[in-house]
This record gives sequence, C-alpha cells and structure tokens, in this order.
Amino acid sequence: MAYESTTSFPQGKELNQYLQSLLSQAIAHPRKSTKRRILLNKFLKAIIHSGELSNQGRWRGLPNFDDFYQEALDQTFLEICEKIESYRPEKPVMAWVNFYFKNRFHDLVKKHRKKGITNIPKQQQKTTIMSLDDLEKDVPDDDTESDAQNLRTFIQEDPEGKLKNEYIQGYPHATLQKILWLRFIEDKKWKDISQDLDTNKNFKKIPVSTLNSFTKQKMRKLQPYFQQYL
Amino acid sequence: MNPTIEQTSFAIPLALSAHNFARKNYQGITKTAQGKQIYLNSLAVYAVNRYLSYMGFKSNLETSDVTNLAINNFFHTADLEIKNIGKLECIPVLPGKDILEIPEEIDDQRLGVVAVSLNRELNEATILGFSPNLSTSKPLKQLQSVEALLRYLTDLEETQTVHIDDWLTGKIVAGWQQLEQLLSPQQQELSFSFRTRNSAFQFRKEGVSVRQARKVDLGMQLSQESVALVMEITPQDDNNQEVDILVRVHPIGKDNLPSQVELTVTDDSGEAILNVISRENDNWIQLAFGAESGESFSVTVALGESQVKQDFVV
Repeated sequence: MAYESTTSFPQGKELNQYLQSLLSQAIAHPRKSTKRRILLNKFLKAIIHSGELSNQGRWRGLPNFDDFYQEALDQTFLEICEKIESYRPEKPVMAWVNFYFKNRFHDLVKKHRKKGITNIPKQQQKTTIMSLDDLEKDVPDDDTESDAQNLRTFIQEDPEGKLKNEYIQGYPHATLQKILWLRFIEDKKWKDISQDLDTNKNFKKIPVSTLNSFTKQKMRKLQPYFQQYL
Repeated sequence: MNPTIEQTSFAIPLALSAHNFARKNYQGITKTAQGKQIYLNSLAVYAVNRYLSYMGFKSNLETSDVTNLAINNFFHTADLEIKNIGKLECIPVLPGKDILEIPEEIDDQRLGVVAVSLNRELNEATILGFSPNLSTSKPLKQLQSVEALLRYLTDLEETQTVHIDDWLTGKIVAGWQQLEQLLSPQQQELSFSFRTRNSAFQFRKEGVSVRQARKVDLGMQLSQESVALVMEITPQDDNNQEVDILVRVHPIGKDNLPSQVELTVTDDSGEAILNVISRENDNWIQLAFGAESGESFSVTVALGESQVKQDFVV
C-alpha cells in the first residue's frame, strides 16, 4: 500500500482538528457546490495521507487481501462523502471513517465467501487485478499480420453489404465502407479523409467531427456485424 | 516537472470492479497494442467515474465507447458521460511520462481531457489535472488543477439547471430567449392568442405568465431539425410557492413539427410523469402540470436517436 504519511499533511492531534474543520466547512456549503467538492477532495486526500486508515489486519491472511482492501476503500470513500452530515464531532474523524471502512470490508468478504472464491486462491488470482507487467505478458503476441488481413478483407468484401448501406446524409459517396477503408487500411488522418471525400464542390466539405461521430455511431449500431466477422 | 500534490486528486483505489470492467472491454480485441490500450483506457475511465461519484456527480460507465468492442478495435477511446453535462475524455498516463498525449480522433464535442496517472501495479489512479483544450498533446505541468476541474464541471452543471424563480424575478437565463426571437408572429398568434395576451416583458405581476423559449437541435449535424422548447410559467400566489407550467415544442421556420417528436417531463427521481409524441402535421405539442417551490423536474425533447434534456428547479 502506498499510504505512508508525508510531512505535508497534518498528523496526530492536529489531524483530527484539520479533518473536523474540513468537514464542518463542507457541510456549510450545499451539496453539488464547487466549494463543497473542493473540500471533499482535500478531505479524502488528508485521510489517505493520515497514516490512520485501518490496515484491516484481521483479514490480512485472505488470498486477495490487497484487492479487497482497495475495493472496500473505494466504497468507503463514496459512502463517507454522501454521509458527511451524519458525522458527530464527539468521535474522532478517523474512527468515523474506519467504522465504515470496516463494515464495507466485512460486506465484501461475506459476499465473496458466499461465492466460495476466497477459498480457491489459485483460480481467484486469474480474475483479480493485473499490473502493468502482467498486462504486457498477458496480451497474446498474436499474428497482427493476419488481423490486418482479416480487417482488409472484411471492409473490402462487406459480406452482408451493411457497410455500403450506411452513408452520411447528403453525401451518398461517403459510405461507412469508404471511410473505414481510408482510415484503417490506408491509415489516413481524418482531415485528409475529409479532403478525399470532397468530390463535389457544390456541397460543403464534411467536417472531421461529423466523420468521426458518424463512424462511431454506425459502429455502435453495427457492433454485432463486426463481432461476427472479426 | 509534473503536477504537485496540491494540484492533483488523491489516489483513487482500483480493485476488483475496476479490473473486471477493464477485462470485459479488452476481451475480443484483436490487435495486441490496442488491447493493452483499451485495458488502460478502461481503468482511466473507471477511476474518473468513481472520483466524480465521490464528488457528487452522476456519470455513466455503460455509455462509454470503451465498452464497445467494434469501436475499441479501431479507435483509442476513453470517454465518460457526465449526466446532463457532456463527455470527458479520460486519458491514462503511465509512470515516467510527462506529456499528455491526446489522440487525433477525439470528438470535438468533448468538454475536456482529464489526465489519469496509473501506477505500475494498476491498483491506484490519480487525476493529475485537466484541460478544456482538446487540440494538441501537452506537457502535464501545463494542465489545470483537479480543483479547476471540479469548478469547471460544477459551473456547467449549474447552467444546466434553470431556476424558474430567476425568470419570475426578471433575470436573464443563458440560452433562453423571448418567444418572438424564435417563433414567427403567426405562430405566436395561432398558439397563444386564446390565452390572456400579455407581453413576455411584463414580468412580476400576479397571475401574469412568463414565457421563455430555447432553440433545441435534434438529429445529426447534417440532418438537423431545430425546434423551439417553450416554457410558460404562471405563478398561483404572490410568493411563487406554486406555479402552473406549460411546456411546448414548436417548429422553427415552418408550420408543422416533424412527426415522432417526443416531449417528456420527468420528476427528480428520473421517472417519466408526462409524455406526448407529435403526429403528422401537428403545429405544436404540449404538456401542462403544476409544481411547488423547491421541486425539480426535467424536460426531454427527443427525435429518433437524439435527445436534449433540460433540468429545472422551481
């Protein structure tokens, strides 16, 4: 965990005063106001650097302890930001925070125990989080040559004619097929594609933003088609 | 030099849910480099989504293009829709990088780009800053702070909500106009003549209605249909505690609305309470209801795939 305390944040006795003052200021501003949001940002930052977040030592033996820790912390942040009005100054702020943190951690463990996952560490490892190094290794070094060839064939042959049928309204020559070809096979920049498609001087040139949003919109629509052939 | 801790967010935890989201998006990606990018983009989008939820914004992971396999195979996309505001592009920044690289194909409709730093373990993300300028890649140290991002989004959120009281007290609300600026004299005659005739300038007289109109663009850029959303507010008492509200959609520059224009009023829980759809040759469509001070509601105008939503508070 990278939550070592740093000298630039209040610690010990000062910490509670500082957190209490952030909370009381935040409560004084309406929900959804800039001021409250800036104070909440400061508040969570101070909590993380306080060195007083529970280390949840009770659960340390769990196979996916680190992942649970982060997950529970995430849920705790959301919960305390929503509930700052319920904080009572008799209690130290960090005790209030750790109360929610403990509960969220407990819920998570319970939920995953039900699924039986915490008892099968080896399988669980696969569905937990990947680091940057894992990601480098995990992505198969597949044959990108053949992928490129597949894509070329798919766009060119358009087996069900669906790419040909979609065009930018008022520009029947600007079909999805043509645009995909220019962008992903000829690897042209959007502004050059706009230039290429500018065949009729009576029309205004198709703006890059239209090309872009048209292409994405149609690809959303045709997702199953792409999935079937690629 | 990179942004200092004063300018950034805290470390946003990335754990099981974040990585499940990323894994789901990256499965089926056929190009190696693209797959890795999608995974990282997904984490960046996820982190910003969580951060904005802590801060009380509503954003929607499911509408992000990063969840779309077809688009992911071709585009470097990492958009996050924030309810009623628009979309941010969430760009991951890996350890050791000091430049925010903005992809060429980014939509120019984006509100801005957010730089999201990821650690090597990919279990923490920190928002380094943002820029409303989409055009070029820029050094991280030139970004605006995360507090500036909160201010920027809150300002946008606030202008999205019309405070009806502002109209009743004669304030000008950005984006809204007098009726005569949008509708022809004939249209105004036809549609409002059966009601007490009074100028929209005559604010603040008991029982006198205030009318304001906004141009709403529906459809894609090249097949755009513009209509006028008209709000008529009639206070029922001296203190504006209760108001009658008439919502209308009129065509602009022609007599008839296209058919299938849908007007919906939703309450603050998002539930539709009133709804009407235009038929062939309708001159306008309308909904009428009453509201009390403090109540909020939304009006949505939709045609085909496009829709425009406006929030109100009485």
